[in-house]
Amino acid sequence: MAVKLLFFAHCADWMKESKFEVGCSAPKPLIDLLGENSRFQPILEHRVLLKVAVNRKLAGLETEVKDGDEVAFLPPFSGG
Amino acid sequence: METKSRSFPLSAVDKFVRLTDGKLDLQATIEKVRGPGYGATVTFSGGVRGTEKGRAIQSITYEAYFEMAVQEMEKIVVEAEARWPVRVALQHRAGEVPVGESSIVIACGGAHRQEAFDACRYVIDEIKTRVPVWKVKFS
Repeated sequence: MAVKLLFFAHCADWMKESKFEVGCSAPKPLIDLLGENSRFQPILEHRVLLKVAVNRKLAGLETEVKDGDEVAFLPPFSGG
Repeated sequence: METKSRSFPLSAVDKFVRLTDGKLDLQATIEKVRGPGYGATVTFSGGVRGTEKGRAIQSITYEAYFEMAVQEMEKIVVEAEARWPVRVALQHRAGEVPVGESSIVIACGGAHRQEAFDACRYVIDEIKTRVPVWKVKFS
């Protein structure tokens, strides 16, 4: 069990992958989790453009996450 | 990018909401909101145009965060039905959509036209801003 990170649309382009898992046994703010690994730098650089969902609900980067959570990075929507 | 064929029906509440990579059926959507008490049916159908930023295209590929997108569309339908005396049904497409085909169809049935028009506009406007779906490729 780990935190499941999902990257959609432009986020997947920046990250060069659409999903990634990272261990997080003790709850910690998402922003801290991202800051621990330089591979997430593209997400942090574009943070003002993005919405974030934790377990399919919109949330902020300060939201605490832990193993088993699903975190999605959502660029501006363009459906319809 | 999701490529396999999937269709997510509504599961939690009794509403007609679909996100599918199959072709959309406007008539089937309309039938979901018809009934003896509903004199007006307003529909919105959004299709793929043949040009994008001045360049001719053949299709647009839509990517979706399927589970959250269905959840959010369900919420929008519930909101519209609480705000106006209407029934709402909708389908949104994912995957590659050829020019001329629909990417979304919405049907709103009401006793009279005004509430059906208002609800239909609300639903498409909210979908545009709240539902995690993206145009990711113009071919």
